[in-house]
Amino acid sequence: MLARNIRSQLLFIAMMPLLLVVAAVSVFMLSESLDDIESSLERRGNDISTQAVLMSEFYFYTGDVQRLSEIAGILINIDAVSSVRFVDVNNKILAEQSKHNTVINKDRLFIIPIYSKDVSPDEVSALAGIEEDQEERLGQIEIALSRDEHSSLREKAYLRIMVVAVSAVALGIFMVYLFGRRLSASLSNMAASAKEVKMGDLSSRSPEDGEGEILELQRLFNRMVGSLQENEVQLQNRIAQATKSLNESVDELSQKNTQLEQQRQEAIELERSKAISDERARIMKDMHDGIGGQLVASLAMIEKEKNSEIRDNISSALRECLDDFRLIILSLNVSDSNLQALLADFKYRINKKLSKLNIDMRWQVDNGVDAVNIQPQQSLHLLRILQEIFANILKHSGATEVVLSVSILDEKVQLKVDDNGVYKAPDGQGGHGLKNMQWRAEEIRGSFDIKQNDSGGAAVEVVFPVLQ
Amino acid sequence: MTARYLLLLALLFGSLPGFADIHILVPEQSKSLEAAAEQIKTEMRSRGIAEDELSIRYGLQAPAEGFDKTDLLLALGPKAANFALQHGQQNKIVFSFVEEAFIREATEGRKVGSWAAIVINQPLQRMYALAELLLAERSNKTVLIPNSLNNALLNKQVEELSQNEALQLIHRSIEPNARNISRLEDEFYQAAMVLAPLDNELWRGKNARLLLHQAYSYQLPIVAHSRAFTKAGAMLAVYLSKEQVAKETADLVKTWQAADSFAQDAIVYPEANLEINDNIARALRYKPELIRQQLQQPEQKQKILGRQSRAR
Repeated sequence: MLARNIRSQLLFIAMMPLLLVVAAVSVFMLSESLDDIESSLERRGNDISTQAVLMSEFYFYTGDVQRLSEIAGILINIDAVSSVRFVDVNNKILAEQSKHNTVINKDRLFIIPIYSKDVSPDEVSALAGIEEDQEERLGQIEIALSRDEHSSLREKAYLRIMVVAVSAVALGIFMVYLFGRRLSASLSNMAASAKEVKMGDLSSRSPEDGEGEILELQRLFNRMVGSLQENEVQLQNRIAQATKSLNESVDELSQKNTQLEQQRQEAIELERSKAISDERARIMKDMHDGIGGQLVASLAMIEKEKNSEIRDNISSALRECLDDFRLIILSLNVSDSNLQALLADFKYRINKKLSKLNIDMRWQVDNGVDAVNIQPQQSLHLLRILQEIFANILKHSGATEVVLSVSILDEKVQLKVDDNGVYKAPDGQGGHGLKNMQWRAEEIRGSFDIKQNDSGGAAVEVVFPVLQ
Repeated sequence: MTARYLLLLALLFGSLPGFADIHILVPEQSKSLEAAAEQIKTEMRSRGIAEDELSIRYGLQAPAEGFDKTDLLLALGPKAANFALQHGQQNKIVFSFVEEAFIREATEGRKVGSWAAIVINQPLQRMYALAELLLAERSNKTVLIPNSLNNALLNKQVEELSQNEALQLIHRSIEPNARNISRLEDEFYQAAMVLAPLDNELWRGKNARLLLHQAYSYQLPIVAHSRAFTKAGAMLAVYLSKEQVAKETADLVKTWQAADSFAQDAIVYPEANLEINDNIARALRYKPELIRQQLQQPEQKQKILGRQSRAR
């Protein structure tokens, strides 16, 4: 659409002056040609007249009509001459020749007067008083020239000018079409690029195939689109940065929210723990003051009795109950226990039993164990597992030596108990004791394993993670 | 006593030509002759003639007391010539810019040696010599000289030339009209050249045109006496210029001043010039360059174009 409009406008703008110029030139050429034709006719007439004067002048002087008739006969044979007439000073026709019966109006008539021309005296003769004679008119020659030949020349001139004008206009249209096409093609390409830019394709560029101001316009357009593209990239980068910053803020907020939630959960947990702790403390106090007191009182009362097997058994049972009670009380303690201290307490209490059965106890605890703390529930589970292991050793193994080793390996506590007794593999899935140990190991997110060692005794291994 | 001596000296030296006045007579309303007078005056001064001895009298008015008989009258043109003859009967007169026939007639009966004339005519001898040169290599040496019946001067000159055998002359004295001219066909046919001397009745006006036309019709070259004829169709002309007449006049006056008289030959024909119509010459198969070259030779130049004079 744009190209068609520009091309049409170019055609109009270029053709109007061209048509005017062609028209003006054609009129000028036509005028010149017609003038040339007329001048040619004039020259021809003058030449023939001059010739006729030269040929007839003498016979005008002498009045030789016969010779004038002969000259008229010669002149009439000239192509363009249609009639010749010699007339004397009294308008008497001396001789006449004509190709037509009547004078044709379109013929061009040349009338040449004949004078008796003097040979002018020269300068010195004039000084001596020799005067120039007056000219005397002797008659005239009338020569009519036909315009037929010149009419055809005129028609040829019309045709020639028409051909030249049409050729000029055709060539002009062709040239305007070529240049217009070239110019409009450049503008069309630029318009197409502008549309693509409008559609958002800022990488679009106009081909720089124009010339002059069009080329400058294309370059400016491309620079403008390039600037837009750079601005777009910068804008996108800024948006990306802002988005990134916003996302980071959101993440930060999310993290803070999570942290707040954690804190809130921790607060809730703390409150719950505190409530549990308080309840535990109350239960522990109640149990300590109530059950513990009753056990201590019962133990004191039974120990006041006379020595007897019953008193010893009851006293021993009470003491075990009291130990177990202490252990429960200890598990109910809110604060974490030191693993080293816990194991030392257990060693103290189990050594009495081992000593009674003459079983040696070897204690191998690494130095790193001293830095390990465990929660009260873990303490309870671990002590219950140890109680069960040593209970089995005391009851079934027949061992004489027990080795308890504790080490820290890869942030895990590795506890091993080996005895030199007789290991009896459990039947099927094992008894309740073995299941409870496995369950308790799992409760402390650890593992439990029992197998026969090289000495034929049992080798128990409990591995659980160190609390962070 | 002293006064008597002074009067005697005045009488003695006053009669010498060197102290006589020269009056240049110029008719009124003739710018060309006035210019010629100035030119002659300049030429005379260049020959040592004193300024106070010269006077130009415009309008042909004589002094109230008349011309002193010792004065020289220099008459320019026929009117001045008539005036000088009328008012200077006792004076010496130099005529310039006059025709030979006119001056011969006007000075009829005047004392020989009392006048001299620079004439504008070309002597027929000069034209004859030129024709002789031009026809030297041609077999036909016939020359036609037509003149008017009443031109006694030309008739006499032709008669004199007829004594020469170098050329064969056809002399025709005719009544100057077209009919008589057209009747000269045989003469034109026989001739190899036509001489056109100054003849105010035949070689003038339409008669001259007719003669030129006839000559050209018969392919005959015309040797004319005036440059105007070469423009009208003559092949060649011997002619005078104003400067040459002025110089010749000044020389003649100087001669008079030196000797108080003129030479025996009272008619002077100044040195002439030659003009050739090259186109006509080539059309008639003459070579203009060769003619000019021949006339550059001193002998031919003097013989044909040189100064000539003739007795009354």
